Order: sequence, then structure tokens, then C-alpha cells
Amino acid sequence: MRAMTYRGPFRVRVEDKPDPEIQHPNDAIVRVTRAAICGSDIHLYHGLMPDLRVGETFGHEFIGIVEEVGPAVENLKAGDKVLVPFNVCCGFCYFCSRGLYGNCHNTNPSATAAGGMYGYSHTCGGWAGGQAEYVRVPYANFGPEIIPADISDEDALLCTDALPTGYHAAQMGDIKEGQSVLIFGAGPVGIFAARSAWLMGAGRVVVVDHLDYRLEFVSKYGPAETVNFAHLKDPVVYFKKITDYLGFDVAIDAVGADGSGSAMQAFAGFGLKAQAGNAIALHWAVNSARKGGTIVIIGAYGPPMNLAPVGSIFNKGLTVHANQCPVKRQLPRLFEHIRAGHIKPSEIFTHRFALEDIAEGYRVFTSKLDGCIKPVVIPGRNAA
Amino acid sequence: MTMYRYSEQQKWTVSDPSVKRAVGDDPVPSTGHSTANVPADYRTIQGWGVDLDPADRPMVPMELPSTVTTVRGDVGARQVPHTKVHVSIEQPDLTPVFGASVPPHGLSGMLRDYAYQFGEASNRHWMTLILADRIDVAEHLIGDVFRGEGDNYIAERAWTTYLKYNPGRTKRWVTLGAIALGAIAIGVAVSKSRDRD
Repeated sequence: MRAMTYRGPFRVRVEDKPDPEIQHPNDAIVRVTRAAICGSDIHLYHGLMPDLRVGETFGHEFIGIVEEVGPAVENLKAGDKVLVPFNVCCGFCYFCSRGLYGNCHNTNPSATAAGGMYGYSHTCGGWAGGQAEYVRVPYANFGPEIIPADISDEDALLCTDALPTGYHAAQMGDIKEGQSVLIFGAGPVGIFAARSAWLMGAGRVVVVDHLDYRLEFVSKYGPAETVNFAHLKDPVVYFKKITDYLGFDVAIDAVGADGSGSAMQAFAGFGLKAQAGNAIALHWAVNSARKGGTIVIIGAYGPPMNLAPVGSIFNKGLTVHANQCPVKRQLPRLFEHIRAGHIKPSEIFTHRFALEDIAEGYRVFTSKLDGCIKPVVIPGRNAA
Repeated sequence: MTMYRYSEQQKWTVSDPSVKRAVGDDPVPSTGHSTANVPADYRTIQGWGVDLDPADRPMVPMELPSTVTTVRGDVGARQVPHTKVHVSIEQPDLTPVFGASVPPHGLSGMLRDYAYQFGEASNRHWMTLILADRIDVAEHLIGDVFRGEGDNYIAERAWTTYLKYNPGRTKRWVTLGAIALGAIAIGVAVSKSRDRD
């Protein structure tokens, strides 16, 4: 099969790889019809995730057709059209049985600090990802979800990660009616978090980024107030001033380890490797929240340490909520929101690339070229 | 509860000229701050408040009740490893399924073996893995050269795409490149002329 492969930081290409095989009675093989490049793939593309090996295939957002199932699979059959949540999860371990599907203990031998994820390094289980023609899907009785007939393919594709993750972020904010919500990052997750915050009854939603084209998009899609921090000397002081010096009730870091806005953070992370990437968004979130407020970490960070103001979390009495999104738990409610027109996920897709052109897709997405918000990857030559 | 109403923008627009301006102080509103697309009454936003009731939020409660008390639960069948699989020392055993999509190899593989002898709170674990990742890249580069299969850096980094969408930067690079080549050419010519003298 043809599959995207990692060659080193900033370098990917498409190669021939062996087709995946059933290796466990509860496995399925899925033929990928659509995949997406996720903002958290950027951390991999930049080589920030430990135990990321040359030859790995990325891709944790994909949908497809079931080609083959193992003898223990009863809930799926060949020909079913499925969306595959990014969490590789068993459904029966200590954590899955409590609904924490992003923290499954049975799908990642290499770390307990992270659950299993498709195409996200050996630190996350060494699973091959969906930016390929075929994928092995373990625990197929539990993980994949048959796509309802009234949900479009590209809406379903966003239900594998970006949409449920943004929705999860707003839920973790524990938003009360009329509360103010500050979201760092106008990428797909930040955009969906902004939209979701209104569903939770927020009274004010402000999205922060340094890319005008993304801020313009979320200002309409959210809708949301937008702040370009590149115009500010000190974003945190500004956020205090626009909340009458109170701070925001909820601050969400939807950026993660690839932040911009602090030379010191960048040097410590990308230069010295003394921390996992650049945690400036988390730093600003902590400092912009009001005392007694809530901060949410939904942007992806790797397991190594980060420079974050722990003392301010303590002294301000902040509540910190963070977790990988348990996608399966969000899907029934998200399908209802899509049907009701509360969220139109596929409107954020701006670019389509054939799998063969995926290096171009990564470059356009990571370098924020051509107004790119979210790219779709389509297997097959000249598919896009 | 903190209430904001967009129809009362002055409530949150602090612009008292008597406030002393410090170095880190920005005027409000900033030129980078837009409220243009938010309606005056946020309750008119489509779907506003439909998940206000926690009962409508899928993640309430965060943890669901369960009777499972062991970390793995009732595992059943296990995948058989056909290659080396690194197992964290914080795991009780090999997980019932695993990816192992790229087996370890060479010097980078030896470093990964070393890293997995330490727990996940250890810097030696993570920093050694990051070092192994870089050595892995170098091993592939060297191996590809010996096999006569050099990487296509321009295609893999999609430089042509980057330059296509950054025509201004392309012009700058071409100009700087031409200046650099010109300087080298002049330097070589001057050097040769001195040699002849």
C-alpha cells in the first residue's frame, strides 16, 4: 500500500509499505477514504514527540470502509463505513470502563503517561496512522463508529478528533451561564471550542492568535471576539484590562507545544530541548484566568516537562482540567448538534490533497500558507 | 456570576486617559481586537445554551461508575509479538495489543533499549529517546547514501510549495543568492588576479 512516512524533522514522503494484517481476533482492517492532517501532527512533523521513528506513518483522523475483520469482531462487517476515533482503546480496562477512553491502559505498552493513538509515535503505542491506504484498527468491537447515513463523510472525518476535542475543551471549562471564555489558538480545535462555548451558555468568547486569516475565520464561524496578540506588548495585561482587571472565568490552551510569542520559551524548547516545545499559550492562560477560575489544557504536549507558572496556579486557586478527549462519549451528542445545525464541521476544510502530495499538505498546513485552516488527505493518485 | 453584554461595550472597554501608561501597557481596544461579528445579544447565537444543563454534556460526570478494579480488566486474547516491543517499566506487562509499527534498529535502537530501563518521570528516559530519534534520522541518511537512494529534500520539505505561496520571500532569496554568488565570483577573480601578479 501507499503510506505517508516520516523521514526526520520537517520531512515526509509517500512510500510503498506492506498492507496491514489482522494480528488479534478483535482487529479490523480499514481502507481509508479520507484522512486529515491535525494540528497535533505538527508536533510530530517538527520532531517534538519522543520515540518518533523514521518510517512511521502519521494520521489519527480518518474514516474508511471496513475491508476485513478478525474472528471476534461482531459489531462490524466488511463494507461498513466507519469513523475511527483517534484514541486506540479497549473499552474494558480500569480507565475505559470509567469512560476515560483517551487513557486506555491496554493499547500502549511504551508509556503510561499517554494512551494509545493512531500514528502518534511509539510513545503513544507505535500504531500506524491513517494517512495511508489501509490501517489496522484494534479492538474493532469497541473503537470504530459506523457513520450514520445522514452525516456527511467530511463531517464524520472531523468527528474523529478536532470537533470532539474542541467540544470536550468547552465542557472541561465547566462553563456557567454568562461566563467569559478566553481561547488561545484559532486552529481547528480552538475554532470548535469557541463554537462549543456558546452551546454551553458562555457570555463572552475571545479567541487569541497571531494569524489574521484564522482570526477572521473564527470571528465569523464562532462567532467570537478576536485578538491578534502580535499587536500587543503584553497580552496578559490586555486581557486583564478588557475584563475590568478581573481576568477570564475560563482560559483554554488550544495551542499546545508549538506555540509562538515568546523567544525565551522557543529557545528553551526548540533550541535547548530543555522543555517539550513552547508552552507560552499555557503560561498566558494561567495568567489570564481570574482567581478561582478554570484553565483547560487541550493543546497537545509531550510527556517531558514544560515551563509553566505552577506557583500562579496555586496562588490564584485555579482549577486545571486537561485530558485527551474520549471521542466515543461525545459522538451521540455531536451528531445531534450537526443534525440541528448548531455546528457545521466540514466548513473548516480549506484544502484537499492527494495522499501522493502529502508533503505539500504538511507544508501548507504547518507554514500556514494559502489561508489554510484544515486540509483533507485523499488516498489514491490524483484523488484530490 | 460574571455577566457581559455586548450592547454595553463601555463596561469592558477601559480607556481612562488618566491611567498611567507603562511599557507593557496597551491601549484598549487594541488595533488587533475585533468584536465585529459578535451579536449585541449573545443569546441570539444559534444553539446558544443548548448544553447549559450539565445533563446535556457528555462529560458530566468525567468518570463513569465502574466495577472494574484491575488495571487491565478482563483481557482475553493477546497479540503475539513478532518483533521487539519496548515496554515501560511502569506497565505490569506487555499490553494485550500494541502497534510496534517500526522496530528499533542500530545505534538508535540500542539507545531506546537503554531509555526504556528508566521510568517515565526520569529525564534520562525522555532525553535519551529524543537523542535516539536524531541518531535514527542520521542512520537513515547514511544508509540511503550507501544504497544510492538519497532523500529528495526539496520534495520532502515541499520547498517549491513554500516558495510558490511566498513570492516576496522567493524574490528576496533569489536576490540574496545572486549577491552572494556575485561576491564569491568577484572574490575568486580578485584572488586569481593577485596570484598572476
